[in-house]
Amino acid sequence: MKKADCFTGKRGFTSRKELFLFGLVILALLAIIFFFPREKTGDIIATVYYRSEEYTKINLSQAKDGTILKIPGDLPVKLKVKNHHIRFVDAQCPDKICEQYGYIGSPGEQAVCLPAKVGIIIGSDASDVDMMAK
Amino acid sequence: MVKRFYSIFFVLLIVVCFVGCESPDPKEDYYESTGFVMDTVLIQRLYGEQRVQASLAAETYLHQLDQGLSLYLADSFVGRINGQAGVSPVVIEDTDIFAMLLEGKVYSAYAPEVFNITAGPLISLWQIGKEGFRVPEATEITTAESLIGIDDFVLDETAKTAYLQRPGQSIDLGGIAKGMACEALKKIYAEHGVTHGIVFLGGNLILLDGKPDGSDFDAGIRNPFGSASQYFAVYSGRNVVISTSGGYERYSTQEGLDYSHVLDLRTGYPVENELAGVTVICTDGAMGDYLSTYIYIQGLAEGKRLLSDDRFGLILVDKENQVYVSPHIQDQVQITDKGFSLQVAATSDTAVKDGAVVP
Repeated sequence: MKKADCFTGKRGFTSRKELFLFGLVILALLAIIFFFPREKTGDIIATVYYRSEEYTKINLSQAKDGTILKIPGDLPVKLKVKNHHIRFVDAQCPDKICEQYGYIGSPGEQAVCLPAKVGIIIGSDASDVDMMAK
Repeated sequence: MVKRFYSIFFVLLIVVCFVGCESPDPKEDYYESTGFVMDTVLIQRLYGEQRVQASLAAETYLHQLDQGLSLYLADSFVGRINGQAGVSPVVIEDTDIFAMLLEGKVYSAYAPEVFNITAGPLISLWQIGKEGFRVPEATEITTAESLIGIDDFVLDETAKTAYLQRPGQSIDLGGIAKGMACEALKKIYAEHGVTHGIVFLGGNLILLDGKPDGSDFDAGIRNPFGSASQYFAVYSGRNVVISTSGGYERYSTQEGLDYSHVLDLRTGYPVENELAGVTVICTDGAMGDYLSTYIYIQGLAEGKRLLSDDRFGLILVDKENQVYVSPHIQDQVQITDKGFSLQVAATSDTAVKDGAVVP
């Protein structure tokens, strides 16, 4: 069987180097599609707020145990992730109410450190209602 | 052939771009913001041209209100009233806050042994939900209860002063503050021409005039036995404030026993009766907040008696997972959790009795 012209270099790619480069690009594209972490529907997301602005989001369904998030400010705050849950640790605030929330990880749960102006809300894409009265 | 390969390459590139991009959100016509005020969460989902301005104005107002009502700030109006108990009246320059103190006193007058804004000494004794929690001695409870007295809380409408007449007395507006705040937020939204939206304030929900497409809002009603995200029923409606009370909201645990933050002033201990949760649907947020606390403390019989009052709607859940719903809102309530059963209250249970204790 006659080889395709692009592999023989007679027409198509001018060299095997060009063909090799093209193959690398395709592999890179495929890697992005399959291996780049994306949020899946139903993942538990912890949204962290600082001074009422969204500071960051943590995907609790994918975050590794022991992950520590430090939020700088007048009262620095540390958040720790364990077993798909998150909590305040080593609170610098005077009453440490935030630490009493313990680990949270169910959609709808919240924890707040008012002196540090940091709050965490656990959410999820899945909801059949507009909001919940609690 | 090269052209064909490059065509395929660019097609793949476009595919990756679409895969990596977020699909457009059909709900983008509302503005949603989240803030932390009054020791709780505020989530506003508003529609309309001035939705952003309304949201900012509402959050700013609540921060100012918190400065005035906070128990933890010695300089707040409440802090000063409590600090000057038995000493001297405190001038309340803020007209909104003076109006709220008046309203709190009015509600406390209906059944002061059940709902009373001068219950501060008992609430601060228990410290439920706080680091200082411990089960007090009976003598401590008796002493704290002796300091409760709504008649001792004097409001002079001419001088605009507030005064607790005996040392050691204190006010705590926790049972009604969010409801009153909801009413203030409704005014702010109206001033900004925002008529459609739904707002969460510490568990209370404000439902404005539905969604822009004319449909009602669907509000989940928290399952009192489940996690914070679980609901057992859905209420569909508009132009109401939904208030709830239940032991699940805040509690402390000692030696395996849970102590609810809702105190029964008649015993001095946390509430203990057949009810697991009370939801009130009312056009007035302050009334709803008061009623949810009042009914939760009074118990199932009183809740059933008020089912037929058409000034508000009730959804009651007892500890046997039985649900009672006001007949005039039953079409708007759907029980979504099969673990709960809807009961029909007997007519005799709902007969109006003398001595109304609701406004």
